[in-house]
Amino acid sequence: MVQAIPYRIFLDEDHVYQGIVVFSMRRIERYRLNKPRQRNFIYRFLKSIQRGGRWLFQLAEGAANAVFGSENNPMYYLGGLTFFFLYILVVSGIYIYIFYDTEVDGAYASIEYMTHEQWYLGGVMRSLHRYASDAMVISMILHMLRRFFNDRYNGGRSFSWVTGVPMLWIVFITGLLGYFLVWDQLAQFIAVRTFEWVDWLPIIAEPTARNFLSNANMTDTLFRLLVVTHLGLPLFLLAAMLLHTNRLHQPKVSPPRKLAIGTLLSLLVLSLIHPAFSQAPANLGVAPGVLHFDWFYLFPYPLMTLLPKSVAWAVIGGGTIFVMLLPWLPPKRRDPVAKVDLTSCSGCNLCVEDCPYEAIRLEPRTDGHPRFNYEAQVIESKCVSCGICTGSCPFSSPFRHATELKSAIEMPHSGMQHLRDETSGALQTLSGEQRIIIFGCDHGMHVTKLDRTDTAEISLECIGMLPPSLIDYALRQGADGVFVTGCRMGDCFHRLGNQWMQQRLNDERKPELKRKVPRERIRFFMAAEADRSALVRELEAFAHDLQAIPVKDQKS
Amino acid sequence: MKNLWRYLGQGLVYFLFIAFIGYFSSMPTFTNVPAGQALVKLTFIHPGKRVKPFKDTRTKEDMAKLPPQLRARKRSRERSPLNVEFSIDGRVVYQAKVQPRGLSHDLPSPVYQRFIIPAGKHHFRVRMGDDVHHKGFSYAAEETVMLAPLQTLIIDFDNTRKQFIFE
Ligand code: HEM
Ligand code: SF4
Ligand code: SF4
Repeated sequence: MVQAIPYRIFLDEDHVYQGIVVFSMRRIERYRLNKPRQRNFIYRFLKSIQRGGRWLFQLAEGAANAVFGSENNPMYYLGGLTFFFLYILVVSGIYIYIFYDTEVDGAYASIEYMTHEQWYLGGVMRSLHRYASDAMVISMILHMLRRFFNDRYNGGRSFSWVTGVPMLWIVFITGLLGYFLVWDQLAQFIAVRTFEWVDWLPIIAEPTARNFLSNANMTDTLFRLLVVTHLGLPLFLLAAMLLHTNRLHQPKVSPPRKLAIGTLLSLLVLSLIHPAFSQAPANLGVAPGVLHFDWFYLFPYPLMTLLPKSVAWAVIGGGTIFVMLLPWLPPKRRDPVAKVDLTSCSGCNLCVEDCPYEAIRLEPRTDGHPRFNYEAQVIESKCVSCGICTGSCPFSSPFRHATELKSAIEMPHSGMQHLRDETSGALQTLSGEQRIIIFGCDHGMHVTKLDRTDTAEISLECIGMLPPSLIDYALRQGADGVFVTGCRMGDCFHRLGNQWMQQRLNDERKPELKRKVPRERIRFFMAAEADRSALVRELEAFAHDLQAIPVKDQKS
Repeated sequence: MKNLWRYLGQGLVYFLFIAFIGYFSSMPTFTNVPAGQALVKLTFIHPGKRVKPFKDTRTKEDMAKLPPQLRARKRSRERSPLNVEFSIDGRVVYQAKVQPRGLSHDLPSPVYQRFIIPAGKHHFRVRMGDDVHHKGFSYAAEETVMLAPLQTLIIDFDNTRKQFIFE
């Protein structure tokens, strides 16, 4: 399973390069299977965009970590912030609706009243409503880009991605209708332009834009219909949001308290110093001239004006379909899903609690076991092969004496036997004073690229896959220290893996690391690709600290 | 000290956040119709004449024998496309054959065109033919209108009185 080949390159007396190359069959196998994809043109194009985007995001997120800390980093709560902005919109929306007149002739005046006569509350609520909807577009788009750049949108996550796309439409349509409700010149512009654009569709028999030809044409019925749509769509949105996060375990549907307060306060400040105003009242006999534009919602309109309607439809409609299909462009080859071994499973529920994708459930026993009533069952369509359940299962122990080491739940391509072999194989390659084993993950800082001779690196699909007993095993087999790394805290590729790992090491989550395992020989340091130098510094500090530990308590 | 920097940093992030929203929620402005221009919309819905004239050979007695749902007149419902020509100050700005909507081309043809022109006095002429069997135009109208800046002129067709209206 693991091949270790020492090499020595002799250039001259001063330049001798030596080291050991460790091959993991899992990586070689994955490389072989992914080869055809990597030749695909679309795949390579998307990958290069992702790389650039990821780099930018990691830079911003690193900076945000420095000022907010990972537990309050807004970039890690973009989905939760989007939820939060919706909550603000609902509250402020209910308030302004109380004063809103739903007739064509009264709507504008009722909003003017709130903005000017009742500026201290009605006006603030109106501004908050506008700015929270703008903020929602920002957080939603960033959330979506972040999923895409970080490659977190395909495989088991396609469901969230596909349900996300219609929400884009709902948000934009609701926002445009909101601007319509003001019935000022901007509303007039939006109404006429939108319906002119919709009328291009051949299914429309009678141009809908003709409803807005003159003031006499505008009826209260039509106006109210649009008002009701603006109120009804957010209900759909909420339902869609619940569906969107339905397949995730503990979705972050609201930001942490400090972040929520900070965001709300800053929107309030903006509402006070820069209140939202209406433009001149609508008058269908006069064309709107120069308009103050909310670019967050209206950016497609200049495009729709410049391009022929057919092209604008192709861009917007085609773009939506393209984005929707992204998870399958080209299809991701899926790793085999987790397998339960009933001879070991005791139905303890630990894996069910840890799976970030709700892919395991506890069901009544099917094998008539004399003592246990339940067993774990993997829902194959939801499993993304993160391996976190292996790390959760108390039977994932390298110390068991079986001819073939097997946990009660593990990945067929990377089971306990493999993990133990990889660990002992890596240990054999180590020489030097402080022998350190690094357990890392495929999505954080790529530890296999470290190229060091005093450390041996093992990369897992997720650091949450590491059973704590394997750390114990590595130390007993002669490692001086074990360095555990993975994605930055708050930003696990598999959502919760690094958090579970940290809790297991801190005795806050089962299965815990045995009490007598010397904690000073373990270092937990999470790092993204962008944190390479910080990780190397931490590694060196760790080696230095290890030296200071007096005598290694001898183990069997 | 470190905390102070952190709070300042957070303040800066929140400031950039609201500055970004505050600015782009109303600026830069967008010019829909430039100053000194006016908007003309040529728009109407009109059903063209049937392509094939209606011929029903069934007599009243035949009809009475048929169940009601079969009494409907059977015929090709296809309508003629409209032949539309619109000129401003003697120059043709729009000329088109507007197809009827509907899968079997049996619905009216919609026309919806917008033109941005300098404000001032203009002469408009619109002509429309609605029968494939007759070359030329069946309806026509001309009018000179004084357009104020940003004024919207609608040129519609009144299907009951069968004439163009300028409003
Ligand atoms: C109203 C707008 C939206 C809201 C409120 C929202 C909210 C959320 C939340 C709270 C999560 C869970 C995050 C976590 O706990 O890890 C999530 C996940 C996800 N969202 Fe959205 N989202 C929205 C729009 C979108 C859009 C437009 C897309 C892309 C087209 C998208 C793609 C995804 C994906 C792929 C995941 C799964 C991520 C993962 O497993 O790490 N979302 N969303
Ligand atoms: S590998 Fe295990 S933890 Fe991960 S998604 Fe599949 S069942 Fe859940
Ligand atoms: S953690 Fe292991 S023993 Fe417990 S239910 Fe899951 S598979 Fe079974």
